[in-house]
Amino acid sequence: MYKFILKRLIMMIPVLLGVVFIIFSMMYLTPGSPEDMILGENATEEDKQQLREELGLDEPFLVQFGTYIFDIVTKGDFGTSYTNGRPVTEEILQRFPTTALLAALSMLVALCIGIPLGILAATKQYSIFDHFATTVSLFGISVPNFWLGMMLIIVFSVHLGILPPSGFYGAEYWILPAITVGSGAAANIMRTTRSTMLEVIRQDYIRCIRAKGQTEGKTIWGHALRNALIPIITVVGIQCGVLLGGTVLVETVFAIPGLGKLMVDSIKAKNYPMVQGGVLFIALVFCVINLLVDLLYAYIDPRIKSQYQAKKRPK
Amino acid sequence: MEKLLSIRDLTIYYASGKRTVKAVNGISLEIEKGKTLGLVGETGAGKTTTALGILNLIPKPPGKIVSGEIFFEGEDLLKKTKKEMRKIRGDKISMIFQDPMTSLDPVVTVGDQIAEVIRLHQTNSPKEAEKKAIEMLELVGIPGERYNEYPHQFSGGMKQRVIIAIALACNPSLLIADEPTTALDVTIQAQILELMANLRREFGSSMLLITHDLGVVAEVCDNVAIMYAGQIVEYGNLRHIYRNASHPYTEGLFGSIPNLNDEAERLKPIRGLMPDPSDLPPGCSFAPRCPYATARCHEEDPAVCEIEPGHLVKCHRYEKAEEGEHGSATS
Repeated sequence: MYKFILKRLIMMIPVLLGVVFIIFSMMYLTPGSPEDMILGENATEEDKQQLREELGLDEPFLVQFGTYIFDIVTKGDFGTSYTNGRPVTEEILQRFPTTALLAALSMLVALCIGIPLGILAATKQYSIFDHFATTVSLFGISVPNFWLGMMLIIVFSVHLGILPPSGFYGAEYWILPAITVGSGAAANIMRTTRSTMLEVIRQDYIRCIRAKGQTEGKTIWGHALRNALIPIITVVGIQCGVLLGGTVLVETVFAIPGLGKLMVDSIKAKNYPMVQGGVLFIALVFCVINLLVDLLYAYIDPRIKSQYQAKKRPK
Repeated sequence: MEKLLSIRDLTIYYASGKRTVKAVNGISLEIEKGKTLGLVGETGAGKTTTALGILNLIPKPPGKIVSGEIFFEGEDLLKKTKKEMRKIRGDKISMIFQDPMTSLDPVVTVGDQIAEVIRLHQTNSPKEAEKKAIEMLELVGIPGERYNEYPHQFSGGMKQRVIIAIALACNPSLLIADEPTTALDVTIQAQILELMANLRREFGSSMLLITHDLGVVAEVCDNVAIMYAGQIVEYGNLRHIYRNASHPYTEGLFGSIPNLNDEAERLKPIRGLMPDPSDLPPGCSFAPRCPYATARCHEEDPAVCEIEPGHLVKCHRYEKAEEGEHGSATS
């Protein structure tokens, strides 16, 4: 098992390198330059040239990229923000808890809605409830979350006035953003739960469990759900990444000072190190979540666990 | 002899789109205490549906028990509530399913799967249930240390042993075995049959053995019911069926078994296929394939005749015999 984890950790390195390379190239290729943003439009060409040299932006692309990677690997230095001169790592770690909380709350919303609805839709297939849930989930998947966020603000904040539209001061401020970000994931989780459960409850072993005299509730929630969990947690893992990405726009809509908002502001300001560091960090979090999902597989399904162990000591 | 199970006129339909699949059409059968009834027929004859009907496990919808009575220990199972039925399932009536590979929950240890049924019906204490489950494992020839292993660590034959352990854990008075050996290797089949016979004797359970293998029936059963297109076409004890097979379908079944003593080089298969259960012929459902069929067979559904005490046949050829020409009809 440890060998498996180690292997997966090593496999993350090329993934992260790829992510850095892509984001680095994108920032390099997009029009506009940081010195214009930092110095303003009235700066002289000399000042700009001097700043470019200071920031190392006059070097060729590959040298810049090499230096960036070299600093990360040898010194753990992700650079400093162009806008306020603080280290990137510090900025990210300061903002990340807010985003993580938003993502976690959204996931909680998604799980609490998606799994029970999916199970009910599957056990009552073709009922009115099933059609209703399937339609709602289609809506949840198709609607862009920033639009949903704005609609929720219009309804609940502007017209009904029961929830605050933006900011970040107390529990009630989290409700709309969490629903906004979580709705898409809830819909995806619900659909996967429904289709997997439909498959599982037709299996012979479910009929066997009923033949033992087990109650319907324990048959479905105990045996069937556990067998359906593998595809469900796969989707949950992928949705974690989507959620982290989704927060980027939604934090802007709700004016939440999280990592997402920081990223949007940094892109606008051509704050290269901030954007690169932020994307790299999100990619790292996503990789770790997926590793955890893979480890969860082994916990849930003994067949997968024995595969991992078989790799460790071949018989 | 005391009747343990007595099914009268059981009819089960499945709704399939606009068509109605008539899976079981008014069958009646009885099982005496401690005896084994073999229910024989080809795939699609309604054998498994009958078994699931006894346990009230027909998936509804699309399935529906249209009419009939199932008396078990003197009480009609079809009148029981869901809760009462749950108490009977796994405790008084248990079932062994056809395919051991898919009949065990893959994410639960085999021991816990046996303990589950014990906890449902016999004891609340997890310790006691575990102890009993280990005893059951050893009874079916699996070392108790394998309690914590998962189904994928067992072979097909071993899994079927686990399933037998689950089925017998609560000492049921009726065991329904739905083709328990079909999915197994021939060498394992014999082992499993022997194990089942021994345990059944030990526990004194009655058994409904569903199979299409007449060899297995001869080895294990006391009585035999031959099922065709949802109806029982011939019913009798082993001697009636094996010495005096009377229904053309039963004759066909025996004709389909290779026989070393027979001079003939070719088998005598039954021509054609079973009729579509959503579109059964108006007369005898076997008539389209029957070598003796007359015009009457195609129009009129035959009645059940008792051609000798305890030997029932559902065929027009024997109706005359009842009227006094006994014996001439077989020629």
